Amino acid sequence: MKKLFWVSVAIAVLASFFASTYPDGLDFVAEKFGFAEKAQERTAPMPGYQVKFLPEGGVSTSLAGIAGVLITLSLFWLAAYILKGGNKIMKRAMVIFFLFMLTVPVYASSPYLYANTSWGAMAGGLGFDLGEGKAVDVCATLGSGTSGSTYQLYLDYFIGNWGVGINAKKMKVDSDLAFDLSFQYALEQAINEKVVVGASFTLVNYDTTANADPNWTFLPSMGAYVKLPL
Amino acid sequence: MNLGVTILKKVAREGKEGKMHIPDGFLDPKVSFGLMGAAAAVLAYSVAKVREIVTALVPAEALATVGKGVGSFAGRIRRVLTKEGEQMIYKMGMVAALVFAAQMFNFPISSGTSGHLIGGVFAAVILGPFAGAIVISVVLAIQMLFFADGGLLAIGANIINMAFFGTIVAYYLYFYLKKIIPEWLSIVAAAWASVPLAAFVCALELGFSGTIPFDKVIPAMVNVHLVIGIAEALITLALVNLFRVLTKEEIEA
Repeated sequence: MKKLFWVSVAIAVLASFFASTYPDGLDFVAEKFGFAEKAQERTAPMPGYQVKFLPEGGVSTSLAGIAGVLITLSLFWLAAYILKGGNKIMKRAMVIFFLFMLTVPVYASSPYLYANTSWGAMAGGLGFDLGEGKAVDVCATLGSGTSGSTYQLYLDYFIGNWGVGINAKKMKVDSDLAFDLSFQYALEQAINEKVVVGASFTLVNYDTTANADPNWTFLPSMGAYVKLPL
Repeated sequence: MNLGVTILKKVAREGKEGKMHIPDGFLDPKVSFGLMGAAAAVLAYSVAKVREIVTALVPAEALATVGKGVGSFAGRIRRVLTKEGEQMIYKMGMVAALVFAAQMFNFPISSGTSGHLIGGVFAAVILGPFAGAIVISVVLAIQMLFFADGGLLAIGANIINMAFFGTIVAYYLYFYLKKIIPEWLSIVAAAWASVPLAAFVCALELGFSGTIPFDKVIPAMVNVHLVIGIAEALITLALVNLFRVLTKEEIEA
């Protein structure tokens, strides 16, 4: 196993120096038939296998490759650790760490704490217990969906473990038909051994051709959430 | 602020783009969401299958001495991760890391195109079809989240193309071929076929989305990937042998 780890690191490092700059199969077809520009750009911590703060090329790609190998391996090791059981507090910490890792793409993808056409939403908020198993969550998020960056305000109403939410979302729309799918996990719930997981959904029919400069718009959206035990 | 966004977009554009990984925008939302559902079903089935392999049923009384385990209580019997199961998960991680690294190799193909490994057949031959599909899906998800390779809404399509058709379906091709031809030859054949197969399904998805007519996209995608498949076959054979030598795994008859 150890040898294989070094083999995969070596492959990742070497790959960056041998990578061809030609467009690949799908890109080639897309360019040939002229639908390549339809691709929406997304960003991420290491877009296009490049570490951002380094000049593009071999070293940058190698580091991104090594990071990728480590992320991939650690995910499975984490899974094995959690499945093994073990210390309950450690287990909870691992789950929170895992959720945090999912939000990393949002923070890392932009110097401005929000992501431009990336993924996810990070929430911070407060829960109010109304008794009889009912609760209200107020929650603000920074983040983005596939179609643009968002600032969001959530108002979620929970009965038992299930909740529905109405969100006000200020969002930059990049395409004329945008689906914005964002995931919410409110970590304040972690204290109560519960984590809120859910998705909110916005359908925007926004004519960008009529508006050369897509504005930040307030849009309503709906969400559904479930509280899961940690 | 706008300058920063412009620079970011420039970085994203100039970086090497996804390979057979479909970006957002190529697919109709209906197709994307349909395929996401299909991918969720495939993954749920795969996880259930792998769970059977890596866990064992242990009577609750025996657990008092074994300690903590994972699984649901069903009567007085409980599922616990076995020692072999734990090794299996580590092995899955190792295969995932290898596939991730190998996918970074973009090799040039004639007519100004390049190709890269899918790795589905490699993962399936080493781990079995369902664990292989999970491994490929995890790699796709990591590429999507951390490296902007492949779209968020297109993740379902990418999982169906590469983890279902490129891994599970291609594995069964290998499995049945193995009975009539030598094993190395069936690895080569299945790995080669998995690439145009995935490309064909990808072309169908693009066609159904109305992005491009079927009669144009199907021959174009399949023709390019018939060539890419040759490299896939050779790399897969090399990786399988490397993995077996390094882990000293006995080759199953």
